[in-house]
Amino acid sequence: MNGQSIADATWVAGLLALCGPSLGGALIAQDSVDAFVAAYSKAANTTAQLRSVPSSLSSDALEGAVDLAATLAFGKPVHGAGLLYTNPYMLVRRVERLDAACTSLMAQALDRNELLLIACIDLHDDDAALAPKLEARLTFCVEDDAEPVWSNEDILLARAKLSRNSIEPRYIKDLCEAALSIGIASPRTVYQAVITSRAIAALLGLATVDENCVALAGKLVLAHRALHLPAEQQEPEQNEPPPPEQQDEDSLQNNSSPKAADAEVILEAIKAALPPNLLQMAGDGSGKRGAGRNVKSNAPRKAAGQRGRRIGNKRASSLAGQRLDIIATLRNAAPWQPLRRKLGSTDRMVVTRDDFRVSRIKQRNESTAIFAVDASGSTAFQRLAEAKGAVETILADCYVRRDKVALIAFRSKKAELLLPPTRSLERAKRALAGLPGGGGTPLASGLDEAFALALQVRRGGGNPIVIFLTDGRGNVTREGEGNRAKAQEESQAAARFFAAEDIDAMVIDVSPEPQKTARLLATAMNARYFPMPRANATDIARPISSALKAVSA
Amino acid sequence: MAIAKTNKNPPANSRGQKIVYPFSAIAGQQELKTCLILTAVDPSIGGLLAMGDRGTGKSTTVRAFAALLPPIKAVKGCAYHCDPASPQSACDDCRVAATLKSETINVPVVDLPLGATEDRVAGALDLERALSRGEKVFEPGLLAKANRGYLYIDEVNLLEDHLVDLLLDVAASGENLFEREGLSVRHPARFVLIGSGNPEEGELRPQLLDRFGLSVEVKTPQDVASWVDIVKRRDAYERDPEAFYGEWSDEETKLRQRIQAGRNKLKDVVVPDAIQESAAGLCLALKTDGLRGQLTLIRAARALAAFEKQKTVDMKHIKRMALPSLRHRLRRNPLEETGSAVRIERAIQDVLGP
Repeated sequence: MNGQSIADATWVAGLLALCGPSLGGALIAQDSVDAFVAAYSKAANTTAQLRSVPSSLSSDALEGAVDLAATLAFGKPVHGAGLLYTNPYMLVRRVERLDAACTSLMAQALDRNELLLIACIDLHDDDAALAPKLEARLTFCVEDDAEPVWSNEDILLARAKLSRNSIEPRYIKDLCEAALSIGIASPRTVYQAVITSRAIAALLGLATVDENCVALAGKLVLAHRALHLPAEQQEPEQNEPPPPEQQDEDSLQNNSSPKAADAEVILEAIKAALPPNLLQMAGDGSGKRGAGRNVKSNAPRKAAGQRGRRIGNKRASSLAGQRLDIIATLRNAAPWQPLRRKLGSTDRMVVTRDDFRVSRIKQRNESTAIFAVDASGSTAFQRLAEAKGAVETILADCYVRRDKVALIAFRSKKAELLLPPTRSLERAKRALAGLPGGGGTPLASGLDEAFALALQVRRGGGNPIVIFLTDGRGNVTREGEGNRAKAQEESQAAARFFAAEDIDAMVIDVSPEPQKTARLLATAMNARYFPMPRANATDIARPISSALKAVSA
Repeated sequence: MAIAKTNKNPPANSRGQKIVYPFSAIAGQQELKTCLILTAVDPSIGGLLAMGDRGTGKSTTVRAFAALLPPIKAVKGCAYHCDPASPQSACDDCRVAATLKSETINVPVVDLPLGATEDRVAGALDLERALSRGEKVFEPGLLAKANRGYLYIDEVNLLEDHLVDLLLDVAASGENLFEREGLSVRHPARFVLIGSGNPEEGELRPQLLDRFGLSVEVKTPQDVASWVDIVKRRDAYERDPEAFYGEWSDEETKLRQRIQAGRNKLKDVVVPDAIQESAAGLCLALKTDGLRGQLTLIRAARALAAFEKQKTVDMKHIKRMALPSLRHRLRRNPLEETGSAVRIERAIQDVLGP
């Protein structure tokens, strides 16, 4: 079989059919799932066929929990076996919607080598981000269609080879060097590459791993995790990512870097597979799928009143929209059983409407402070440092009260979400420190971005508070053109959305003298307005802190 | 609760445990390994928090450690595996029982799943007995299972706050008080709490940080040689777990014996007054809240001395344990750039001398 002519996706299907859970799994582009599943099914054993699992699944279903039907039928608790144990070959579409508990259980199963997870994700949807802890454990990332090249006989033959083939230590060293030079964070990834190269050799019918196998493994396993190009490691971090054209030149120069011959072969293979916009992604410190994003925000939310801490249960007059607390209901029915059995002459559990109990939920009203910071030239020269100081002070406050914070900056052409809602102070600090200043004021984009995020937070049951730090003088339109009049018009319109949706907002006027524009903005948003005299960061922070307290109280 | 676990039979060692990666074979992670050992030498140190990036091998290390611990004697058939030798710390049943049969068991290590409910953790009404006989009987939860052993929570920073509160209360008092559903139960729940997590995914409340005895920051080394070592060992292990375990079994046995020896020696280790005073001085200089830090520092230093076969605690032990005992107790200005480690190093220099 000629290894060169086989597409990456096809390799991945074959490799996963061969190695199963010991390679963890793959992240697959939505459009390529069907082709992949076809290729995999042809190759895999009948016992290792993929089973599609909905992303709305509960952690009970994964792990096994009380089987209600059986429990009622037998009059004693019966536990169902979880999917993780009955069917550890899973295909999950819209994997970003898995809730945190499922994600963790899956990550643990992947660690134990007891789960093969094929995770599908819509690569065109920027909001779809796989939980970083799953992403780190999935060996491959597939964006193309696989072809059904391997049959199950091929795989069985290869499996016999795999148990006997070996990899020379020098290749392990090469893979480690290559991984470190492109910023891969964990040796786990290299280990995945080692297994992969042995599996490739087995599929090709080789007794030992050769250079080509290692290079291909590097390309399949390491490339999609690359954070930066090889020689860039020592360069200081830049605020502005260089334009993409430059990247090609960089990679050309890298050819001459002194590296072991084989590590270079691996790096070459990796570079060939790198996406063109890598630098931009590396610039914000996130991985390929925007790793580090708070994935919870994508999970569908239950209706309000159904989230939070359970503080007991109550009798349910009607079940409208509420979930039955099954255990409490059974507990309540239990003492009456001997009596009811006599009346009804049945040996089953008798549950009547009176027994129904629903959980009482104590909801934690979680505030999310969304900072929208005007980092344009007009602010930058005057107050950006102070604004940063103010945000830092409020951050410290939010940290104590376990509020979440998010950070949006708008400058030059557009607004940018620097930090999705997080409770991690470290990330907030870093995002803020790296905030550059200068350029025009795309106020309307800033408002749009903050508005969208506020709605997202509210959908999640949180309590958004938007804090604008700006002088209100927008001069860049949504399209990124410099047109002051149109920009003002757009921002007034965008501001009115805040008032319409009744979003809690405040405008901190950071211009040297209080500006009419900022006050107008606040009025349109129906927001509180604080003109800031020239003062230190704490002075700016004080009114915001007290307002935040008032809101979340 | 009978839950059908994995259907395949994992390789097992002579003690009937599933073979896990041997603790001694874990490359690097010296601080984490030492601290884990100390919690076994003196469980009263009170738990360990290991925070670090993804893929640094936190979970692997903790699970490997569990398999290393020497087995213990327990009352046969007791849900809380009480110690037959110390009835004063036993559960109500074992305390009043006339005769106790004992058996040797592995140190219990309970994994707390992230989605666990309060019922599952603290215990609940026994449904079977309630349904079939209308009796009110307590069904012990994970806390009971973890008695005399370890409770491991991966991603402790994502656990719901009320559960963390519950766990820390029980861990501190050594007792689970259950007052719900008309049941009133108290049972021993003395365990060492091990938490791990990635600080990028969220932080622990400062109040909770303080309740862990020791704290470690786990990092991956960034040099080729260490990586090659890690990957080679892992490869050797995955290819033939039994042979790999065999290669390391001498080391494992030696370490196990050292831990046992350290435990036996612990009560004889002397902490001189001067050392007590230096520890107090260090905590004062760092302005740690309360006395918990100082107490932990002394206990950890004493455990370290016992593990290293020394009769008295000296300044070196204090210096070595200062970081893991105090790092998470500094009153933190959240935006201060200077890390806790640097501040502690500086205070050690100032207070204890070079």
